[in-house]
Amino acid sequence: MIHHKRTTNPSRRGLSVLELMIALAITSMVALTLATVLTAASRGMSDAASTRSALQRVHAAHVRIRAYTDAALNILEHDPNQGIALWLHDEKPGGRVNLTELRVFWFDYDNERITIERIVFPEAWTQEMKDAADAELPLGAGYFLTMAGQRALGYTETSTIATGCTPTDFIFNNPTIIESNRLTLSASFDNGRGAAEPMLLVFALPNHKQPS
Amino acid sequence: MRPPTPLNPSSRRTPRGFSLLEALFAAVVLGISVMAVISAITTAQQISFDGQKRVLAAIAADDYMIELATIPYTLLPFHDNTFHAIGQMTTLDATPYPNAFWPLSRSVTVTNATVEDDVFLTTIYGLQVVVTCDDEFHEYARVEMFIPDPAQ
Repeated sequence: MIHHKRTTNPSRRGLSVLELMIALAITSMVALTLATVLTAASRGMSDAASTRSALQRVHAAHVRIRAYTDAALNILEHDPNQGIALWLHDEKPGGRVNLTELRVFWFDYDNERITIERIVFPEAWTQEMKDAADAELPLGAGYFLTMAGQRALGYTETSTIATGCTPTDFIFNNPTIIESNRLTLSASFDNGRGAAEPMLLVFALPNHKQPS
Repeated sequence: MRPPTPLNPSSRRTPRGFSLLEALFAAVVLGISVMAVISAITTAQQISFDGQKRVLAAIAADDYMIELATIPYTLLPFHDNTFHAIGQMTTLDATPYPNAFWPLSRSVTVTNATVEDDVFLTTIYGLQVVVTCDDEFHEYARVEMFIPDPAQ
């Protein structure tokens, strides 16, 4: 005959209520710490990704715009609602602005982007035809209107140089635009999460000269 | 043929719960794992922040250099030892930089320098302009430019 004997050996029993509560309390504290840290880390990562996204836009815009302004000779016209007209170079010497020497930065507020437009005559034209069409512009000509007119004729090319960018303020170092050789552009850059990162872009024209 | 080996009664595990010591040991292991994860996250964030500062510093240093390139040569030495403290960077025309640049400071040195022209065997005199952008511990960007004396 077999007798079953109830054992009281501690090594063969489960946790007591007290032990279970201590273990639960420790586990809860660890879990709470982990949750807090992971939430903070997740928020931090998210913020960092947003800032990084905005910074990439800033850097791209800065480099692309400076590719023009570092070489440009003059800021010909500025209209906060439209853009900035630049005299890029004096390829046809004489100190006057020719059509092909003109560049216009357009601020597209609706689509949050900056584009640049230049005049390119048709490939099929001979050099004589291009030279004849590359007219000299009088000082103070309406450069935005001129560019729009050439666009209507189909003689312009436009490239996007900044996206997610909304200019908010322009500061020139001289009250007279064509005498300015430094421009500070305040702009907000989309950080990819619907929020805007305020930034400052500084441009200068070391080769500054005024058209005649 | 060998008879099958009988099971060793001592190797049989009897079902039982965890002891307090085991539970504490598990908590310690979990804690160490959590600390490792926190440390990895912190390091990743630090590296990410560092990268952002580097980009901003490069922009700020480059901006000031191109601004200095617009002022007359004779006025450049007056900008030697220009220093913008952390969070107080401004453009040459005193426009303050936005908050994104707050961790950075900027300094300028302008010194007399010469460059030997190996082709024409001449010495070119001018100014060496150095713009650096730092935080309180590291230099994040350095831009140098030699500007020849236009009167030469």
